[in-house]
Amino acid sequence: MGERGEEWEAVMLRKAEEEESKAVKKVKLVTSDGVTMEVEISTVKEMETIQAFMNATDTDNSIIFPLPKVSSHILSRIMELMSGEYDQELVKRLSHEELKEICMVANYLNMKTLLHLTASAIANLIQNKSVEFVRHFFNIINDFTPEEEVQLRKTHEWAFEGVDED
Amino acid sequence: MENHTLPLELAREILLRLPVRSVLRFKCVCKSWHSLISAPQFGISHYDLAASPSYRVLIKSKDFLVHSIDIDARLFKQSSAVHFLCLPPPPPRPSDDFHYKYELLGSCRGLVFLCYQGDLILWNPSMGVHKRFPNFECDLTDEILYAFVYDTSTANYCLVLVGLDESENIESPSDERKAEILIFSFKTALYVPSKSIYFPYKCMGENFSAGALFSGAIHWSALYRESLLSPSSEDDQRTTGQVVSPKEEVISLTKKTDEVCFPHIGRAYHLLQHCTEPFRTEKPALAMDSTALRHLHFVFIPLMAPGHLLPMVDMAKLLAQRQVKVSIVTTPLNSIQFQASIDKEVRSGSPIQILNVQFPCAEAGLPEGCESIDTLPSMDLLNNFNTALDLLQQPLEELLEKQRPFPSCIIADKYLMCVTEVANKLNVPIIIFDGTSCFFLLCNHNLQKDKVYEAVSAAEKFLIPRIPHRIELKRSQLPGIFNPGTNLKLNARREKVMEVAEKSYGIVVNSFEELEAEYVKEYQRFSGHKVWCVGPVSLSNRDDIDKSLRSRRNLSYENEYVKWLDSWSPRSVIYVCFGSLNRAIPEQLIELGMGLEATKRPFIWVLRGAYGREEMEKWLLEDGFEERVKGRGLLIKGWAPQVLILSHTAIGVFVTHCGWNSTLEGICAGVPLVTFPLFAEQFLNEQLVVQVVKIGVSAGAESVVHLGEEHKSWVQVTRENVKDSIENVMGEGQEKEEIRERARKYADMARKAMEQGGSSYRNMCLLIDHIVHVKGLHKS
Repeated sequence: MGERGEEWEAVMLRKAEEEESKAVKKVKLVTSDGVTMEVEISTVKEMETIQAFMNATDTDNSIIFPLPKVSSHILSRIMELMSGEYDQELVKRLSHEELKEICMVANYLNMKTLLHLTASAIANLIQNKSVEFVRHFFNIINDFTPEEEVQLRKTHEWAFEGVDED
Repeated sequence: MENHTLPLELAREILLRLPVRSVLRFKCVCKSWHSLISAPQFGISHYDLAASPSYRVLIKSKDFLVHSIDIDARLFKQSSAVHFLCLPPPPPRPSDDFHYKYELLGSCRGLVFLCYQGDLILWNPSMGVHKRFPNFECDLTDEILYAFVYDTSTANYCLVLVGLDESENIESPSDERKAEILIFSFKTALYVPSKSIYFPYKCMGENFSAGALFSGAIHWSALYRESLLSPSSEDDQRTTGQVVSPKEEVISLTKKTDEVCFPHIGRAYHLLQHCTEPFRTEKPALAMDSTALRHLHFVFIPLMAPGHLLPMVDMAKLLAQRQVKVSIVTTPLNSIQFQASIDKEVRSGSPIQILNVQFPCAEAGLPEGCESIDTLPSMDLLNNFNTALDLLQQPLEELLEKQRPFPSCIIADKYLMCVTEVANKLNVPIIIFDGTSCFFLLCNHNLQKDKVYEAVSAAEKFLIPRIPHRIELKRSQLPGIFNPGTNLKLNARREKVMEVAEKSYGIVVNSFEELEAEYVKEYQRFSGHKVWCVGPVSLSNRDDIDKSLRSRRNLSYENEYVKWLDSWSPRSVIYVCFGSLNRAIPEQLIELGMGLEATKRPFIWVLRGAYGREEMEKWLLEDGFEERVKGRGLLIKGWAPQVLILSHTAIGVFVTHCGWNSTLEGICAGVPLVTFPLFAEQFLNEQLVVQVVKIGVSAGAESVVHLGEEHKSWVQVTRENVKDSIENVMGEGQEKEEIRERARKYADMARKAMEQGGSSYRNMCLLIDHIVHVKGLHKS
């Protein structure tokens, strides 16, 4: 009897726990273009920047979190990547601009897996490209004088041989 | 992001993932990138993260110019394959020594070690920077061997110098030539002497004095004279060993660098191995004298059942990789299974062979060709199979007697009782291979002694006495010996197995200390047995070829399985396999199938086993199960390449019967387990997984299914149980994530245990050492 009783108790306890976990909490994310996207709380778990903020506040069922630096287009792309468990194939389908933006958002929201994935994809993209390509790709202004640049190129001459056409 | 400037920390993340060549090129992008890349910390992080190393050969072309050639670029067709580098500017010297030249002395992790008129210089050719060290002065004699190496334990570059004493007469056969060792640390810029070593070799001249670090030891090429070797004595601290080089050409090459150079490529007669790294003196000296190793011969005799055979073959391969002679004794049909993998070992230089004995099928009343337990047409023939095993005694004796070197140790499965007699007769120490864990061994031992289970009914729970964790079991979940079925012959045999094991010299266990450290220690203490944990041995199969060569069944399907798995995302697929001796009844299997269907997740289900096969096939045909799960459910009817499947990233959970090999293979793959034990020690393994290591959940099986009494079993685990337990490790939630994280951590520990310097690696050394010792005692 004692054993049966214990079993019964365990079953009831588990049922109660299940009920509780079924009430999934949602988080509302407001993007830079004013779109509100409702996502499950588990999705936000990977966004450590938001997570840190949420831990500080009391969690109830209606959290609204503004993302003034993220567009709805990019956020929906990120959701796609997350639900696809960060499939490499999905990353390959992104445009250069999307890839770059997602990488920046991953950095901003401190999403480790996404950051690694996109940073690697970008590294792969630029590894055989010229310095000019990279400046253009990231909108970086060359602040070297022509003399300085010539000197620098000379130091590691071999690194400039055989790069891809832009 | 609305503003498009790239934050510097993000630029760093991207740059860290680029090859050195690209990083250097992008120093020119802008000033902030230049200073980011030039920072020393960046170099360290970059090296640690480098994913794909490349190898380059440096050839000095002029006094201060070096050719750098990418050896991965085929035939130098790529324009970037060859380029010139400038050596560092020569140090200031009085004007009269302009004819001094740089010497390339070695390389390691992308750094090149140079010498210029006695000055030591470390040079990073990629970055174009160098550092000088004071003039080389030490009181070693003229003949010097050296090696430039990186000690990972202290994160330090070292120069190891071995000075040979020329004054002694090396022609005399009895002479024991000594060598002094001096280590220069580049971190402290200090010389530290190390203990001298025994050195019965002759140097091959200046061109061969550079050593290289690989396989955890520094290697030099040297001449070896037969007459110089004296018989071993066990007590001295000798640290040199001699192994025959597998290839005639020795190439010294370091891995994971962007720039390396070959110190020398030459014809070597013998490869001299400096077994311990002298700069790690805190570790015990594990090397043995070569003469002792040469006379060792380990004989492995596995039981003819896949779950017993494969781990012993893996273990045999690992031992042979230490250059100790190993023979595996089995029957012709069994040896076919792993012949290919042994051939591969032989090609890579391992002294390993297979010895065949004929299996006495006819004499024991078995059908011809029934040489392993899983090929028995019915389990009714198990007693006949045991008779055949006993009949092997005579042929084994005759076979082992004529082996040279004479067997120095027999490692046999605990179920091969006749081998004990063989070993006694030949006066060879015998070590038992027990296909279980130390957790099981300790529980088993304590239960035998205390017999607490005798006082309880079959369904009542009781506490396993005197073990580090609180583990409760029902009597019905205990292994056969405590919980006997009705096959009396089998029961008697089980008792005898225990008795034989008690008399053995020690036990080798396919497990690793990090998994169950307390149990390893406690079992040794309670039982008085020597225990060597040398696993997980399945990790010896390093690449996919090894994994599929491991056993030659179903070979043609393997690519298909991998392709199928490739189509699923990481950690999404359920893998279900109940081992080679499945004893679950069809009704239970059907329930399992329905549970799998209900998860709506992709799965691989391996169906095999002697009991109720026809019924199961009938169900599959009539129920339409296969049709309903088409596309997401892959059924494998027969043997499955489990290690290969489990190592695929798509696998998210392993539903296992908790046979020890399967459990370990699951642990190594880093996937969480759903435990579904059926018989033998599997319920105890379940406890280890769920309660001790905490990397899985139980499906809820309640009782052992006895051999030959399958019809008495019932459906113990419902489809809901199956579905729920799978969700409990695959679903969302912190607790579930923690289980998955732990599973990954244990996989990491398992891998490290088998690596050089890991606990299992060390235990294998100790095992060899022990037998060397025993042999010495026998002689005297």
